Amino acid sequence: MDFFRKSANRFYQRLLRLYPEDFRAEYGSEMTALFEDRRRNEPAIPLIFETLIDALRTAPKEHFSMLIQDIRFTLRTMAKNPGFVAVALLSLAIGVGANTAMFSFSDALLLRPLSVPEPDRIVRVYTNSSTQPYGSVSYPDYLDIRSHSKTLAGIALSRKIPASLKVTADSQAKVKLGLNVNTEFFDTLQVQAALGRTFRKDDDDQPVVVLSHECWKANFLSDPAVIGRSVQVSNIAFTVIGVMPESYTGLNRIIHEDLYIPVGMLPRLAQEPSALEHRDRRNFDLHGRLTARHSAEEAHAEMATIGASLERENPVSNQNRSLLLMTERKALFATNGEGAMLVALLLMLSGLVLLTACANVANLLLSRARGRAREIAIRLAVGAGKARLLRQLITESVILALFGGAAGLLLASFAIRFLGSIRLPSDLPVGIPATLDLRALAVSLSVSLVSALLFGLIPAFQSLRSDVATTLKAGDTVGTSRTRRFNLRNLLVIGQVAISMLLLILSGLLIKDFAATALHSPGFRTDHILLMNMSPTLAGYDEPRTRAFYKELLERVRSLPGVRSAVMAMHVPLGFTSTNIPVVVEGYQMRRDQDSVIIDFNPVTEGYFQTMRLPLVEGREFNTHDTESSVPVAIVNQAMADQYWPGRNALGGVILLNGKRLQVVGISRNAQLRELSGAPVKPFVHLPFNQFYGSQMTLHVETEGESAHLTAPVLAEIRRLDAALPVAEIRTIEDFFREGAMFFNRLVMQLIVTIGAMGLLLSIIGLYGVIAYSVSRRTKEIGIRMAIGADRATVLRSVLLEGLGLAGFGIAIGLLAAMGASGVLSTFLVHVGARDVSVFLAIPLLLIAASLGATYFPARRAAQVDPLIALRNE
Amino acid sequence: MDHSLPLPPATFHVLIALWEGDRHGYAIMQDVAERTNGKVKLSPGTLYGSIKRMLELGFIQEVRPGAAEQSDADERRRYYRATPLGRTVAQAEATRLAEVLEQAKSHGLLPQIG
Repeated sequence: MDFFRKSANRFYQRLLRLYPEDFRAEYGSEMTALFEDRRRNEPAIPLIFETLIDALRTAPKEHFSMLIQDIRFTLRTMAKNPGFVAVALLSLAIGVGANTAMFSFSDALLLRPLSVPEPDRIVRVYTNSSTQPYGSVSYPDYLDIRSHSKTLAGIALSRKIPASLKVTADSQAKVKLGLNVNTEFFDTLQVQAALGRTFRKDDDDQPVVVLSHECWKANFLSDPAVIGRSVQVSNIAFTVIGVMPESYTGLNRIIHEDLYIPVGMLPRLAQEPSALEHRDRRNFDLHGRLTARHSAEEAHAEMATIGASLERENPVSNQNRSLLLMTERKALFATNGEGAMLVALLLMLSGLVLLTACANVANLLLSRARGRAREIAIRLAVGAGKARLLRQLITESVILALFGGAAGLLLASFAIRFLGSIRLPSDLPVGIPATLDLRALAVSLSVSLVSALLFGLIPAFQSLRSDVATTLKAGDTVGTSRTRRFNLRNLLVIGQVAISMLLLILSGLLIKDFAATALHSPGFRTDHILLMNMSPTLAGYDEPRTRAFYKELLERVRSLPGVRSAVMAMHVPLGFTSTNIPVVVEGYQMRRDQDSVIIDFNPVTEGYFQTMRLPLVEGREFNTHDTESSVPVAIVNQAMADQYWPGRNALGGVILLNGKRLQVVGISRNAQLRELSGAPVKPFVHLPFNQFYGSQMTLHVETEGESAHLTAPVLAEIRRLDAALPVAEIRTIEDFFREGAMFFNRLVMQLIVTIGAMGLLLSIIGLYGVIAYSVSRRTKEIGIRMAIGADRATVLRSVLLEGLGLAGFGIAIGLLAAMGASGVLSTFLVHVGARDVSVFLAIPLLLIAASLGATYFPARRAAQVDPLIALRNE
Repeated sequence: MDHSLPLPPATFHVLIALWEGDRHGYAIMQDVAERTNGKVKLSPGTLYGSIKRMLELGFIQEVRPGAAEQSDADERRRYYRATPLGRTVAQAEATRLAEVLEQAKSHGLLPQIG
């Protein structure tokens, strides 16, 4: 019986642990006594059962009521310290806001999964070769892959294609971005049409079109009766069969296509009956969906086998080429190294801002904890549990963090709205789909809570560690130990200054570089040129008609008053489009597994180099004698000449391109034709338009005066030739260069400068807070020093020096960190070195000035201390 | 005081149990069970949760056990007494309940008892 009594008591002791510590301390023994009384009077089994239920029911209630108490207490304390709360919330809002906005931006660029069901099961298939990793796939290869693959439940094939859309017979055709897709495209992605239907097997070569939600909204005013309507797509009558839902934003996160067209229509749209028959034309993107039974590894292995047999069976077209399969997510990072780096950089920098913000709040809490040390010591002395106090302190941090997080979210929503409103200056449906969604909310909530732990726990532990007796004896002056230069608060400020030093140097480098880029010429002219893009194929033209059209158009434009010259080129330098092509350089020894090199090219008409002020270092321009029947020629840039004809003259050299032997007749000076970056210029080839046909070309008109003034006359000439021809991307090269070519550089600069400014603001607040606090704690000491003869200037100087000392340490550490870190920027820097001396000199000076400002006001207050009052107050 | 009404049932029962004299926790529990013929049984968790809140609100106070109770002294037991505020609140609650009951009666809600 005694055994039963003991084990029943032990059981009850265990149950009591469910209650909050305070409650247990207060009533535990009484409740145990009560339990023993009942045990003597009541039957054992029901009693134990009842007790168990009771504890499970009432213990959570006690915890909850304690939490409510803590929250009430916190809110009351906060209401009493509005200054403290304002600074803490502002700091947190900036930290959380910056991180939420940066996350949303990164999410939109890279991190967000595709808007299809089970996006993790989507894989990419690439043609891989040493010259072109992650290459697209040819249509015949796709057919073979599809018939042999057992690991993929379906394959979505797609290819971007420019298309024109004419909604009604009498409306003007508009240029749209089309996507040629196979009929199982949407079934593979498992997305259904919002209206009508997607493609069926027998649609493959039918003129039917599915609209994106955006296109439906913009061009059909969201008319639900659009299904079954006939429209003109690239001058061919199509029937609208479906509209995609708004939630489906396409396979590309940034470019959103308008129209989906069956791939079987490509031969008609491209006016090339054999468009789908070339195994060496690799221009289709493949997205596969794994079957439920197979993993990405298995599919990868299978694809390697299929790739090997394709190479065996097609030695000419598929030599040295394998198939590569990877998950869509992995592929995104693998093929987008620069984007991934930018995302990592932005997230890292905004993380640093958050750290600075947390350091601010931790510092505020620490200074308050000093003031509260007495209160806490007393509570500890009268027996309040440490766990209970810790809980109270953590509740405070969490509440601060949640309020700060809410404010941060508000800030982030403005930033995100701004990011979402950014449009590339292009008629393409391009935008950064940054939205404040649930993912961003979850991120800002977790960021807030993490920061609560970061800034809350250090002060909490420090106050609990304090020794009760000394704290009480020492009275209010506790912890003013001036001897400890590196106390926690000072360390935090040094860290803040170091971080903002780093952020500011990175910002400084980017600002300087951006300014330099805007001033420097990229190697070709960026003024007095009017651009217009057109594609007569979209209006049903074949090659001879297109050539005749361009010839006639150039002649008419050249004769307009105010026009100096006019040329056509397929691509605008630094534009959003580019093409590359496999090239073999005769006499150049390639690696064994390499059969060609991939080089960017641009077909241009005669006079192009003159018009674009892209000088030739040697040789001649294309001229009217370069025709379809004359010797094929090419102009290479200096970089290409140096790389492939080392120690020889490239002039007269031969390259093999598209099965033709091209003679190099000119060498152009290196210019940044493809990207504005610090990287060395890559090889580039210009080809004569007469010998290399492309339907979609951009008219470049060189003007005497303001080029925008010629828009109407030039457009009128085009209309006179063909009123139905759609013309797109009409802008001056000044606009194009400023807003288009420099778009990415500008965006990166703006983001990082904003982050840097926030870091600076936070650390200035931090420095000010610490010095102001130190002065207020030392009022008595300063009073004594002044009483024994120190003058105001000495006091002022000593406080200023204290602040500058802290800032100096931070600046030195930040400088070292910046020297190590600035290398990551080199991809984004064009003209400025990653260790630009002037930036590395100017930014510390700026920070010293800011620190002086932050320290001056507390120092002046210190110098105005009246020794009599200071001593009397003790 | 009005904002403390209506009282939670457990609180009201504890105040009734303490109306005639000081009691410890177990005695309160037994009193409530006896008075209600076992219909209302305050569990220990509910009892001490109520005691804690009533102490905070000043409805009851802790007292030294009187001479009579000292004989069966278990020093872990604490005795509680209703404060004047607690008594006023209990009376107000009783009045409120009586009024409610009166209205119920006048509308014929109650079956005639005895």
